[in-house]
Amino acid sequence: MRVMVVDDSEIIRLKVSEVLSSENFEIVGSAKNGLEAVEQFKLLKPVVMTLDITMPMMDGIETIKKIMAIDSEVRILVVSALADKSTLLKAMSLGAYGFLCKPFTDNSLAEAIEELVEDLVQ
Amino acid sequence: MNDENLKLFVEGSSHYFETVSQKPATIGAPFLIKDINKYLYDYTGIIGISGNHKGSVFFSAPKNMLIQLLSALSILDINESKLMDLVGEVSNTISGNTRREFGDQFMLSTPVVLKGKSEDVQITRVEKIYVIPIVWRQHQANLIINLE
Repeated sequence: MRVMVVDDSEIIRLKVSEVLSSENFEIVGSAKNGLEAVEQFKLLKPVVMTLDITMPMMDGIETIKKIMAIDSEVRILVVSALADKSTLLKAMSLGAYGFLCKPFTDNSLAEAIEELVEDLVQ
Repeated sequence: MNDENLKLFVEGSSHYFETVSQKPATIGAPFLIKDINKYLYDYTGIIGISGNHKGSVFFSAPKNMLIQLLSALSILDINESKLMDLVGEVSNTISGNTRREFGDQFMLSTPVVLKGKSEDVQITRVEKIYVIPIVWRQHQANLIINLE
């Protein structure tokens, strides 16, 4: 399954890619801000996207709006340190499918992604 | 900052190290300081805070701690860029987690990262600046809370 990883931290992009690759997901691209993510999304057409919220240029909330306008079927897992209920609800109301709070373990990330795509792989 | 507020940063620091490395850190009691520069190590991530609190949060760590933390994260090919990225990400994560209590009006900037001890750290100082000492695998780091 095609995944795109979006985070302004290179370390998080590497970590998420490593964990998801080991779970047999195909990492088709990565981006370090929302602007890059939207441009790459149009070209790469991933099925799943992991998305940070606090990023320069364009934050994750704005990115969800733009991505949903392009393809509302994409499964977005928000992976963010912002642990407040309001951010979670805003992301979910805009179309995000799941929310994982940083810091995360390899297992918690794998479980969150599996839950996100559970119905797609059945 | 009151004791309850500071407790959020103490718990957030403990949670970060325990989660990413499965090795707990020892978090010391917060204490007041006057000069931030004396408490900076090799790399420092700074998060600017606006909204219902104003000021900044610093996470400052020695190079060797960051190298060990990257290893714990299974990040290979360690270089300067990754050390700077990590220190920024730690400061962002610990600060962001406090929004569970502070709410969405505790607004965070993206991290600014400093290398080395700088005499040129220009920040808006608040009346009381706290340091929370963190010891992880025998390395000492500091979380500095400069918030109204």
